[in-house]
Amino acid sequence: MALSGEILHVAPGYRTKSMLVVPMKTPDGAIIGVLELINCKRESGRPFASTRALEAEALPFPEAFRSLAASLASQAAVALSNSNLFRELTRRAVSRPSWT
Amino acid sequence: MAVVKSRMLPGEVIEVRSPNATAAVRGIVFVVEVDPVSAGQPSVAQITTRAHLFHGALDVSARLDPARPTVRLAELQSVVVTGNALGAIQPISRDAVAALTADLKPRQIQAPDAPIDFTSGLMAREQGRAVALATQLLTPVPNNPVQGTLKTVKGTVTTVTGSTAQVLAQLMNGLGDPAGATTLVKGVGDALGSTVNGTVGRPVSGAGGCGRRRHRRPGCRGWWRARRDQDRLGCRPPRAAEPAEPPGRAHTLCGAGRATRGWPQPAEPARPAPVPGPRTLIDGTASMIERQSGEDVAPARGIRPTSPAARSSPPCPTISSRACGRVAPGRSPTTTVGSPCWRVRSTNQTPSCSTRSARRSCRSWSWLEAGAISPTGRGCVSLTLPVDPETLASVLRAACEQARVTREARETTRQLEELNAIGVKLSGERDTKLLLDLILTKARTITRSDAASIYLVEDAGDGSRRLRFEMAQNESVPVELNAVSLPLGPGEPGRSRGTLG
Repeated sequence: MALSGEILHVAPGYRTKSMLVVPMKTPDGAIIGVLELINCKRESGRPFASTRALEAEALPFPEAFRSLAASLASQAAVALSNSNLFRELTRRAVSRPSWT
Repeated sequence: MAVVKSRMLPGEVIEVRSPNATAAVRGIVFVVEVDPVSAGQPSVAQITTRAHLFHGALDVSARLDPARPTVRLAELQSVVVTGNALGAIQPISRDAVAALTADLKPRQIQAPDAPIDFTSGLMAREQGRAVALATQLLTPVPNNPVQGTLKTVKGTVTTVTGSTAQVLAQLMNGLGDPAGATTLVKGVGDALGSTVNGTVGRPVSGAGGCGRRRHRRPGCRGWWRARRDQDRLGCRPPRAAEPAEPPGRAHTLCGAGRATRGWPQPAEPARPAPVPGPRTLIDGTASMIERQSGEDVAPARGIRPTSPAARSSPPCPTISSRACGRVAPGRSPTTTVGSPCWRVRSTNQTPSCSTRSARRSCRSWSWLEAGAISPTGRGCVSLTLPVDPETLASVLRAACEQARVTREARETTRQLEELNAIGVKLSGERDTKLLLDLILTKARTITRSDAASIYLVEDAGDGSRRLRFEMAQNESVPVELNAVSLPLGPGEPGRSRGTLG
């Protein structure tokens, strides 16, 4: 899934040093999307100051984050499915003729 | 009838059965009277039972007719069962209650007082025995003539020594003065301590020990503990000669430098002084040793070497108390990672050993790195100086392992709490765009990621499916998103790996 460089226009020099990709799987087993996480840091909330800092400080994703991200992706999949169903129901209710 | 309530099990009832009625009770007060039946009238129809209820609830039924409904009595009501017929419920007055219970109360056994002649004789005899016993315990002092006088005591004490007379007179004077009891006891103790030789070893009151025989030896553990208690309570009497704290006694490593609970250490014989030699640099934190629910860290037995060879080997490291903010004289301060920190190092090590390269060359440092520092700083461990490197290494290794496990448990708990909170937030969001933004933000937060993207599978309409790039976030650089969708087919990575579709 290393397609970000082709799709995203990011600042030059920004590199992908580590990546964690997890499927967004609903409870019935269907995969509705993919969640991609790039460049693990030592501390959350602190962006890389420069390209050199990114090269030096980017860490590989710990093994424990795999299950954590998968759990979050599953919850996100359920939430997205519910959101799509809600949107579809709203659309049908609006487009339904009034005499039915 | 009396019932011990604590012996009753749930569901149990007490039934009082007369020949023609049954009263079932639980936790109530009632009286059942049965008129005596003469020998010539054995018929049940002639029996009369009266049930009086004083407190609680009572069901009364006719035993010979189970089909007849029971009568529920309320407080201060009574019912009469004549033969097989239940009478009407009648209220009873307080006077009637008193009359009914008058002859049911147990009679108090009144013990007659002993005759005054007997008690006075007994008192005189016991006092005489006490004085005779005290006289036997106290030995006369050769150069101290009789100077005191003994007050009136019933008995036959005629010859006492001066000190003994003083003690007894003081005792008798103080018996009627409760306010001066403490002074009296202390004075008696001092007098006894100065007089008695051999029978009573040391005075109990005002002594340095805790009172127990095995803790009276000055300098022993119980002696020091009793001294600390006295200092804490402010009741330690001033003493001229106090034994100095032995330099080789158990040294307590603790986070705050205070006397805390440590691993129990048995008494150890004197050991030779540390011999200078090759030392090991070990830097760690005592706070890494966590105590969870009062349990000792696992390798507590490994603190002290047990083999004779290990005991005879010259000890290497020495301990300086940096945790208390003190640095031993003549030693250069070194950089510590956390606070409080205990540094175990040698005299021939230089501060340059605190550098990263020096730490790499010293294996001991590796046990203490990786952030294995407890934020609480509650742990403590007791070691007996001098400590050999193997013992210290095992203790520190166990401490670091426990700190690591504790930290991981906390981290896992925090992550689970965050995940739950995120799930609640996600389930409450209906707008798709806001939902995607929330997903990316939370995913980046809990995984410490700098950037995140989300792709969604969509139906192309012709039976094929495509992967559409929906949203991206980057914390370091701004991103510009192009709406791009990629076909998902047999040749695509997702389909070929079986992770999509």
